[in-house]
Amino acid sequence: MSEQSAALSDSGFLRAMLNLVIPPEGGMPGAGDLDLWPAVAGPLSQDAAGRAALSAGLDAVRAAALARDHRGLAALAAAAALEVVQSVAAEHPRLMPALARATAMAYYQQPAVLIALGEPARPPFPGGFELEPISPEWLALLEGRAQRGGDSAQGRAW
Amino acid sequence: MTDEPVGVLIIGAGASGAAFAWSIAEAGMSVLCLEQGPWVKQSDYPGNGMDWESRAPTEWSPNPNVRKRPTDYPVDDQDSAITPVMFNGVGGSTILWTAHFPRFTPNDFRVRSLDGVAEDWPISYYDLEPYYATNDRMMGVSGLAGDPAYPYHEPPLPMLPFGKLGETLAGGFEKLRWHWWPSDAAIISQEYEGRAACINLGTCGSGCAQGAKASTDITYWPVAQRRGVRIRTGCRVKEITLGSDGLANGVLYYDEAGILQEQKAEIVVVACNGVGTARLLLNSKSERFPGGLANSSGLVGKNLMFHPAAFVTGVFDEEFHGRRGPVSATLWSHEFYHTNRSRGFLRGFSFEAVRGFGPAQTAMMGMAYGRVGWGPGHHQAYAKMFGHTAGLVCLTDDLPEEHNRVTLDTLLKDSNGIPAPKVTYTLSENTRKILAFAAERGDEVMRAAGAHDVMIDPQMRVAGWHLMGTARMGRDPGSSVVNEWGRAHDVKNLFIVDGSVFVTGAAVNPTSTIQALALYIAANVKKNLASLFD
Repeated sequence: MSEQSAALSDSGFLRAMLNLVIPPEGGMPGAGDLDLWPAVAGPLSQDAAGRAALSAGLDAVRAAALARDHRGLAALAAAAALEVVQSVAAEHPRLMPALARATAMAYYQQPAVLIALGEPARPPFPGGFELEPISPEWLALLEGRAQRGGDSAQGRAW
Repeated sequence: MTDEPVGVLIIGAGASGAAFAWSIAEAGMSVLCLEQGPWVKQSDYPGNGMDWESRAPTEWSPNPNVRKRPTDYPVDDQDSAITPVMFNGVGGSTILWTAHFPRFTPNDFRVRSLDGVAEDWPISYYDLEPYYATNDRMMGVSGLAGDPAYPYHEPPLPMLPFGKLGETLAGGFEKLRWHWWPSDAAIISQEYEGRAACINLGTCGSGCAQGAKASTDITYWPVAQRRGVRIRTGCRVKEITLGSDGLANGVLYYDEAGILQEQKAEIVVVACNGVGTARLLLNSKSERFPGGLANSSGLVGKNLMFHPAAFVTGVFDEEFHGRRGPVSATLWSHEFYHTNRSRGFLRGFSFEAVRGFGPAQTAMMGMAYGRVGWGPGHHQAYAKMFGHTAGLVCLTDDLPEEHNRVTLDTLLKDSNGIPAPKVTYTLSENTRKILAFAAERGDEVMRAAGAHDVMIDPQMRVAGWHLMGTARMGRDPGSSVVNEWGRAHDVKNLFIVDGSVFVTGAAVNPTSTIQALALYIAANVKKNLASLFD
């Protein structure tokens, strides 16, 4: 199925599509600019039905974009590109929610994105993170309430 | 092929099997544990890689139906409001748990006496107290002594870092004058028994690459092995076999190559969790026990309890770096734990604070709640969420009901052709009322803490971590499966040591109690060894 899909063979379209899902803005890169397509497509293509739905939905978006501008989705202004996607939503209702989830999952694990978020671009281990201990004020409050060893059980809720 | 007979054969190398093995090894008998899964390497955990957030919910999912490893068995959960989750391997579900480590309270063992429902346990908190303490030392528990919600006990290690998130949530509880206390966690706050201290990876739920979170593969098992206990992995038990004398005499199991083997034993101990244990007993049919082994009461598989839970997420202006730190080791509250009939339900719930999510899972959560969309506005919406969320799990007391049960699926089988478990579970009216009340209180405390937005999952579906009640203990063989020290009423040398034996479920995580019970049962086996078969 995917071999016949015009959309899945059109890297310019896929890039524009992912930039529509998570656009470049401020210091954040666009998802389409990060070469994410294999990571996005993987989870959406785990079975034949998923692959078929993905390629059918994307083919419909691509065709609608070409109908509006022969240069395709990448040439459309953001508002027009959104209109194109919305025009196929009724026929392919699961396309954009699924694509958005898969794109976000791949996008927010990219080093460039983590750096833009102010996060270290490394796995959690082995570096780990610092975390503040409880403040002396809170600790004093708790210690004032703490029962001590040998306290009577009488009157307690448990 | 028949292996050499052993003195004690333990089925399952998880939380309870490990604790039991370590203790029973003192008796000087040969001890063997069969485990269907493998040893897990810490270097394989997702937290070692950049893609940890996408590996955690897939190949490291706690749901065996998603994970689908060859060592997993499928679970038919179509007729269950809650999906059971677990891990199969040395360490069992402690590999993927978050190590929240509350004890039950003394009242939790006396529900019938206090509230007129369910049954009392045949043992008390105080019977288990010394075993809770031993278990805390073996697992490595961090916490702050003195919680007025509990009898006094001292965690062996200082409490874990609290963080700004913890202090902010504590502020909400303070404002409402509700009970709260820093959580006990089976995560070490400083170097302990050769294990390195927690470095706040935030990946507890998909394995701790640091080894600071207690999982029994790195706590009990190394010590048990030094005591002579052997573990054989890749071994899936098909059935427990029965001798002509009515005693269990071993098991039939499939080895890693799928070849059926036999292992003889003098004592058989089942530690396969509240779903797996019932499944194994029901699969162990014989002329004497046509309805499954040790099932003369008809209760094997019945009274399944889960802890239905609501999840409350608050969004704050403050930056918490909320994904950094032990996931579930912040604070708990027992403000609504015990019965107050004016609320319209019996029993209650606990709050457990949980930290925020990683970058990708924050996006998933934001999308699921409709707070983060795709397209224009995505980044602004996301920025309000990432690092700004804190969670509260509202964990409800789940009373036993016979119609909530584990049976054998008529069609579904594991890779060895053994019938899979089918779980049938509905929420009771009482539980629904607790959940609704808990969600409201969660919203209230989040807003008191300063949350400007609160999102609520009123009943988490994939939340069946706590598998309890399917072979409960009691003194009456007609209304229980095992006696007050875990021995099957019907089979003198068969013991069950996991959450299956729980009579009631309390409203806190059960692992501390499961392991204390396993140690308590082991102590009783040792004490009664001379007369065990009389």
